[in-house]
Amino acid sequence: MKRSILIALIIAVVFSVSAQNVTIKATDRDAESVFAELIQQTGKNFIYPAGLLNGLKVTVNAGNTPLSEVLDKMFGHTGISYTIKGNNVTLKQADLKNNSKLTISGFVKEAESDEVLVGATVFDLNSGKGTTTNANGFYSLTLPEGKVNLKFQYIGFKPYQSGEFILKNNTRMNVTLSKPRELKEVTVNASVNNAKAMYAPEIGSLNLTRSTIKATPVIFGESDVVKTLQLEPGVSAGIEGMAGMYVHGGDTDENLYMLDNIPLYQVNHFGGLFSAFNVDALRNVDFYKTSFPAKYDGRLSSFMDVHTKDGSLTEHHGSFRLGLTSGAFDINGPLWKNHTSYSFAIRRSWYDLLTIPALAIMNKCNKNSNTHFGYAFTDINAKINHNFSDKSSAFIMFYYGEDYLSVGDDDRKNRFSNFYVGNTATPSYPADNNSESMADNSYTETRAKLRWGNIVASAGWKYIFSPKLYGEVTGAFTRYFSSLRSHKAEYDITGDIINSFNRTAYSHHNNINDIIARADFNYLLSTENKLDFGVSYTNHSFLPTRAIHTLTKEDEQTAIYDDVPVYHANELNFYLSDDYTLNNWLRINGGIHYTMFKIGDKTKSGLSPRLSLRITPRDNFAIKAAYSRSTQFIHQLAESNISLPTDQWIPITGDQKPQTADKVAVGGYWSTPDKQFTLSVEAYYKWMSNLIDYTDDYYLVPPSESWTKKLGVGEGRSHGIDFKLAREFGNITGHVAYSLLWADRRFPDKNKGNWFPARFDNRHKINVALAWKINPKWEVGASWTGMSGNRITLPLQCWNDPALGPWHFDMTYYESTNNYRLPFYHRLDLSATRHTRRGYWTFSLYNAYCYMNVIAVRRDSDWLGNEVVDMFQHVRAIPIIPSVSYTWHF
Amino acid sequence: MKYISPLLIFISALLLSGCYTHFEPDIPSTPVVCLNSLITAGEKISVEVTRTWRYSEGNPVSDKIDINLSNAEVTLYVNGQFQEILTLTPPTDPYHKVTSYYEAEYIPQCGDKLRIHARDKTYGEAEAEVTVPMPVKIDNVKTSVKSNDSSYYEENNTFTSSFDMVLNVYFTDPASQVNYYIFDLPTYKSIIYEDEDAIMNVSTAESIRITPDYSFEPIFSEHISPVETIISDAYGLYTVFSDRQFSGKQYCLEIPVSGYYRCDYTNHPDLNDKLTLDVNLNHISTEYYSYMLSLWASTEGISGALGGVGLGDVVFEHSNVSSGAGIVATQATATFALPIHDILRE
Repeated sequence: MKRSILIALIIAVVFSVSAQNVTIKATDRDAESVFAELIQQTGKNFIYPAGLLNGLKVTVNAGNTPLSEVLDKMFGHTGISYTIKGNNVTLKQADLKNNSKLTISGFVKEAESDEVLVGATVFDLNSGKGTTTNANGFYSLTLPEGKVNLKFQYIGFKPYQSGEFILKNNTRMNVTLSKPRELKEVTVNASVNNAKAMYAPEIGSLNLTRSTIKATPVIFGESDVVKTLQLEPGVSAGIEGMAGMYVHGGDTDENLYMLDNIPLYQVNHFGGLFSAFNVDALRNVDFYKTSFPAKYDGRLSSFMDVHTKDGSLTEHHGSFRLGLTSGAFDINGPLWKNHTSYSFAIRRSWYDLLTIPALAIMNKCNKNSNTHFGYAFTDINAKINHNFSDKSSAFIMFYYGEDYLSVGDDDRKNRFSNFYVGNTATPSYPADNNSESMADNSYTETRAKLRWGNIVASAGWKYIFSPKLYGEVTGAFTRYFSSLRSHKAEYDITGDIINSFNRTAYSHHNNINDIIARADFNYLLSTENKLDFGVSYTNHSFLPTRAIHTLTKEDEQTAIYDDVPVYHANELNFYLSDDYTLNNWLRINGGIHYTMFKIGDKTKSGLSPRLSLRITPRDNFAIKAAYSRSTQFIHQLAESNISLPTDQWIPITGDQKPQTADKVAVGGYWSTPDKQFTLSVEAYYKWMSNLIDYTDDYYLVPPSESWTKKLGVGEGRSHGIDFKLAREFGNITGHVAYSLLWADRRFPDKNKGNWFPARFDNRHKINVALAWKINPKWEVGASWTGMSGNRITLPLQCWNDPALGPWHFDMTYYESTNNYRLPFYHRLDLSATRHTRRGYWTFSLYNAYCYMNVIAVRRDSDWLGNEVVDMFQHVRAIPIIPSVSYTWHF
Repeated sequence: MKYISPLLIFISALLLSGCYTHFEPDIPSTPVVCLNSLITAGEKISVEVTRTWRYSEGNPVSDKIDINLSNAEVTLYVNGQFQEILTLTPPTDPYHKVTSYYEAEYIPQCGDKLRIHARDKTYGEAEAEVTVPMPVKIDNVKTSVKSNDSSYYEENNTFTSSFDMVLNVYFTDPASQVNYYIFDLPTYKSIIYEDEDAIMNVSTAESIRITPDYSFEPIFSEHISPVETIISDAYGLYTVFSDRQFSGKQYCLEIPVSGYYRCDYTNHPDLNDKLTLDVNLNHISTEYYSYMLSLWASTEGISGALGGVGLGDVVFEHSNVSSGAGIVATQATATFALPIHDILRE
């Protein structure tokens, strides 16, 4: 008992001593003179080694303040530590070796919506050290124990400054940033992409926000992430108007599109006119086109990770949009305030409704024939997010995207109307061919229904294991489906009696089912050294073809099955990367991605090393170099340059080797001191091996044959330079970009085995994109694209018809592949947004100056002067297309 | 294109509401020698030797350009041995645009390996090598009459029949190799007779006109992909097929046929009731098959449809000639004569 009392007394004395208040005012005074004053006020002994305070000036302004706080202020940045023990205050030089490091971590979110902010910067103003938030808005910053002053900032948001505080323990600090009421309130020093350009080691990475995507004018006013990316240097759009993406001379199936880290196979609607990503449902997009983080592999050219909205934890928000081609609705909010949020978005096209009147008129005009047509696309995104604690959260995500096409017609005619009697050339039509009361009719019904799309369901758990270790575990199911059902039925009818009946029906299915489990981790070895690592497993199930051809003739039915077996494949991926900032001017990121792909009894593997480094010789200037290898085990077979339900995703099989691409790149980056403008120049050389494509005469192989018989294996190469000058904040934002590209291919069975230019070898490409916030009510945007035309194979010559088939025309003579470049392409798109109290109107003009670009070449006969001559003709398409939409917010 | 037409109209309205402007590509092209020939076992060989021409150069049909190579040296090799130099034999049809036909004396036999080589001083050389297939006999043709609306009109002594029937054509595929076929039913036939002056005459006294429905026979659509089944209505025009699904076995083609038969007993009563329907099975060379499939792909297939409007790659008609222009095909024909009158009179 006595011992306890003694301890309590000692503690009380120590506390009272340390809590002793002093009043002192000193500006840049010698530390020793300040101590003399403190000794006078407190009566304490100050003990310190001789010379410790020599020349040390301190500034302190304290009134009736505890002594410890005064000492903190005096020695905060001096490297001198102190201890107060009884009546003695001991000063010593801080032992740097023993100075412990502590970690501050947490999430940065948007105040209004509770959405995490990806790429927000976090800086300690005292030490100058900083970091950025990851794809989940998480940051982790390791600093020496002591005073810190953190600043959080993100483009378009008011920065937040923590104020100075003493870091004594590992600390969790979640921060919300809010948007300013007026733009001038924002004093952002750098945008996410400026930071990526100047500080990140990767080359050619980009972060797109929803607002950036919405500000980009596009065809039909349908905001589209892929079409926004088409404005980036090094990204070719392919066919005009389509949401295609050909990155650095690659092909369209060489881009990995992910929805919250889960791959999607079908990424287009309406033949590629729109991408499958509903902008209302997404939060932001990460895009990598040149050098790739080790996390990503499986495609050769680019990686696009679309992050969907989590939903607000505090309030319900939503919007309803009505456009010319589609309508969309989205809503998000709390299910359990501050714990659970939801987000739901749906978009559906209107085309089927728009075509109803046209079909009604057409069918009204033609009594003996009815035409059926319907097309619609739908996508649904839903997500539920639950926060168990500051450390732990989980989510469930669902996506459903589908295109539906239905065509057909009904024909009613006299059964003998096709026949000619005797040797006369006069058909024996009945007296009244249009008569409904015809006694002897044939009736033909044809229908075809196609459905294709993607389903993704995933669930994940995010956990902060420690301030230095963040992890995410995800399980997912993704399904690509494409089905076609068609039939042709013929009835021979007399009055109400069916004399005979024939029916031919096709059904065809092409599916992919993937079951995915993955775990991704970020580990902070130190503020300078971060590890990313993870593992994933995918069970693929490919059904390339399941076709049933059923023939029914009265009572007889014959069914022919054409099944290619289901291919099962197991894919295991590991990755590890280390991001190390050696000093202020050198940062290195190295990693590997290893894949094992087992199909049948064969196991293929791919090792993809990655290395990138950044050198910052002086402020606002960075030089980067990178090497990336990527490996692709699954590829798409497409018969055209648009997206069709017949495009098949298939795995490599048999003796096929995985496709690989090796890319070296260098880049130079410069930004103005105020970070308003960023200039980047990136050069690359890429060579691709084991490329798989259809042979020139693949159509000679019947569909029932294995696809491997239609394929050839070749190689490719591309090189070029991308320039970009961007301004990402202020009233006027935008970029000017130029890219120079050479892209070639070589296949043994194409072009006589010689190199030939790739279809989208767009040598020069210029993009100018501008957005101007005139005032709180009006915003306008413009984008201009100019580029060398696409390559096509143009048959210049003809050979004489051998008269062997049913059609007679001049045959096309093949000389070389992609031998003709279409004329220079250019287009201006404009948009204007008018904000109202409850929403906004968007007006846009696609191809504002109505220059109809050449999309193809045809050979035809036409009048030239007074005579009809055979000639080549440029096919020009897509005039000016105005559009308007209204979005209502609630 | 019939069933997809609304879709195409809609897409056209969106994308292809374009216009056409005349231009001349600034790419040089050099004409080459083209060889075209369909060689049938047991018949004389005739080879059409022409040159290719730049599309904008003109049109041979309108006689604006001359593509005939009348001074070419055309040589036939049989089974690796020189056989003969072919002679220029212009066609009898004076309106035929091509006049540079070269004929051989040699009658090709089944199994012959033929090589045709042509040389022209201006346009260079071209050659093609093909093998003459063996005919594949039609084992049997069975008929099943579904309806027969027949009448005899005494006033003009005429018998007529409007009928629906199904032909079951049986043949056995040789097992030794991959075989390709073209099935053929002439849609019109009448009596041909020789009169007293030994002149061949065509009589309408007995005639038949038929419309076969090839869509019911699945083997004719083996080259059609699922989507093409809805964009194409070219059933009946392409009856080319392979033995992939019945190699070495007997196969039965099932062909529904609708038709009209007429027999006038007034004139030439001696010729009546003798008309047969010729059911032909052509065993064709690989090159012929490839050419027909490429023709289908360029006119009806999805590749040809999209390639034609710039949304895909152009489909080229298959050539087995070294210059890349022309097709030298071979075939051997087996015919089954179906006594149509007997069937319809039953």
